[in-house]
Amino acid sequence: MSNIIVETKQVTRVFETGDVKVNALRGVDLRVELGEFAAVAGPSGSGKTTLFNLLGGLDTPTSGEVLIGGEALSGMKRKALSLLRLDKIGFVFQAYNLIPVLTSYENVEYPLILKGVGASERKQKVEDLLGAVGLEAMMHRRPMQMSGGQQQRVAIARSLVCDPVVVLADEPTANVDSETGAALLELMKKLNEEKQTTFLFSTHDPMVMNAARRLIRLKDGMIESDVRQNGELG
Amino acid sequence: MIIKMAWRNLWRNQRRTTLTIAAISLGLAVLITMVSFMEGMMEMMMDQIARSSIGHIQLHQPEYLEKKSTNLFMEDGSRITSAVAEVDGVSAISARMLFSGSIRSSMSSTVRVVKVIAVDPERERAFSALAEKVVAGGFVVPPPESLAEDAPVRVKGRKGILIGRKLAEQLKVELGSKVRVDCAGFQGATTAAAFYVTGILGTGTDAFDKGVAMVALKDMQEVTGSGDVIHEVTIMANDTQNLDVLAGAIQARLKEAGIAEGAVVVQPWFDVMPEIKQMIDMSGAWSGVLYMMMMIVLSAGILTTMYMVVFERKREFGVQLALGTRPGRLFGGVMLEALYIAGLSSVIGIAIGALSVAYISTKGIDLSGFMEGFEFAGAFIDNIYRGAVNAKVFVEPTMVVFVGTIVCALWPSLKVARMKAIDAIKQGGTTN
Repeated sequence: MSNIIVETKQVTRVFETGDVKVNALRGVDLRVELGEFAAVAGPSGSGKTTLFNLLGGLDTPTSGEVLIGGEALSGMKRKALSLLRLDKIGFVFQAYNLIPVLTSYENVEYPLILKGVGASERKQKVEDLLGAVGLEAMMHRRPMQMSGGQQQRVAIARSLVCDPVVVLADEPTANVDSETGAALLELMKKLNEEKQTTFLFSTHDPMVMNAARRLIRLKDGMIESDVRQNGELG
Repeated sequence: MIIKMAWRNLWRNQRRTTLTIAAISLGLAVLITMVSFMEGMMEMMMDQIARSSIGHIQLHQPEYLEKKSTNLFMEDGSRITSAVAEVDGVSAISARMLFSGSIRSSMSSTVRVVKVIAVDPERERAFSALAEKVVAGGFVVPPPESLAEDAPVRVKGRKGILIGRKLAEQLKVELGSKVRVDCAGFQGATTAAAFYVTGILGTGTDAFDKGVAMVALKDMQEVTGSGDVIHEVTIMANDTQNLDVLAGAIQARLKEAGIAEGAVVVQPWFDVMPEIKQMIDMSGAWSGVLYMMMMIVLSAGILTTMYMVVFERKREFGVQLALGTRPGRLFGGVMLEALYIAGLSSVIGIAIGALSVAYISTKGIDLSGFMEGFEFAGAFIDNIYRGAVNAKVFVEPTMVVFVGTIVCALWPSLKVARMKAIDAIKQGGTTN
């Protein structure tokens, strides 16, 4: 059985605004295997966000193919894409993007409700994950009552609750101080090691780049380098 | 969770939600009050028209309404009246003779043209609203001196007449004064008779206060030598919704009583006076216009609120879509918020509306400071209007506002359901 979780085949994405064409991605070939802790780095405009949008099924490539867990996203209907995101992809956003009217418990529980998971199983999973991210004491707080770091921990718990094949984390440390950022990275690395969850980061934070065991550099919409490394924190 | 989220989302901007609900509630309360007022006004007008003149059902000689000739009368008036009174569903009945005539007094050179209505005072009192408008004397009563046991024969034979206040002023007469009435009798004969004023009517309308004189039916039958004939029988019904059925029952009863078929025509009021039916139908159409105007005003507020919801929470909707939320669920969430607004507004609007209706239905709205009562369709219409209290008053406006609110939310909700996650996250505003 193949261990490839995320795969892109000659993916291009061209944005057209009037007569202007911008080639955001130019034939990207990428393979991410189960359990990887990888980062896609590059300067602004390199195509990181575009690539992540395509991997998350939020956007469609101009040409080429994106596969998640072996399933090709091209030609999928909106409903099927929603289900795929729910089942196979976890998102961690730069701005946390928790649902403000829900408590941290409810935010983590939300994807399970969408999946139709039963109440007792939901309770077990949510409590376990909030415990794993160290927020069991803040279950009933709403996002506004929590710090940025705490909100991002909730977002990480939410991204993992449906046991996705990959977590796409877009600049997860950008809005927190370096100490909190390091703690978040440590947490994700621990979850990666314990649960074999695949993490793929989009970042230009050197701390994240150092922590990743694989660093893919994008430049002008193409992969400039793709190297394996030790992935050390600190 | 969708229910919980919608409820919490509703109160994220408490001031805006409160203002929106307040505006819709007040709009609904105003609508309920206006519908109650209009319904009440129509009910009152119909009741007064019915009680003053036309009743709910009328009986005539078949050609009378078209030609209005004194000679087109119904024979066996007493038999007709008694037979009709026995029919189930008849609550009051009045038998009348109607003449055009003139009236004069020795106190003035003025001669006035009047409509002389001869009635059975007992039956008419139970039937007509006019008895309540007598300001002096009695309602078609004989002169008191004629009732004395030792009164001379010529005094015993005196006849009473009820005239309007303004007519009395023009003729310079008061209670007890003698007046002379000339009217077109039967077969071309002219009838002249003396009457004594035993009652003064004050309705506030010229049609009655100047133009009507009422006398006893038996007196007029005696004066004209007509015998037991009448021109009109008017009937009040217990159930005004099934007048055709009652008219059929009356027709059948007349046949049983031996009244020749074709001698009498029985008609509900809307066949006798179709213009009043048209007016009532038009009033219904006006209610529709009122609902539409109110909804146009309210929809501006509702649409603004719902669009602000969509605009402010765009990023949040985008994130929810990215997490795997189906568009239909987002649509349902926004619609649920509209449902809460509609539901809360309806409850508050009905409560305020009920207080308002309770006031105008008991105290009424007195327009006497602005206008006098008026004459319409041969009836005196009062100037104190009372609101109607029935299911329609509450149900129709509430349904219009409730459904209108939901319909207004459809477009913004569809907009949310059609959002693309990536665009919504990129363009969206705050999520707090």
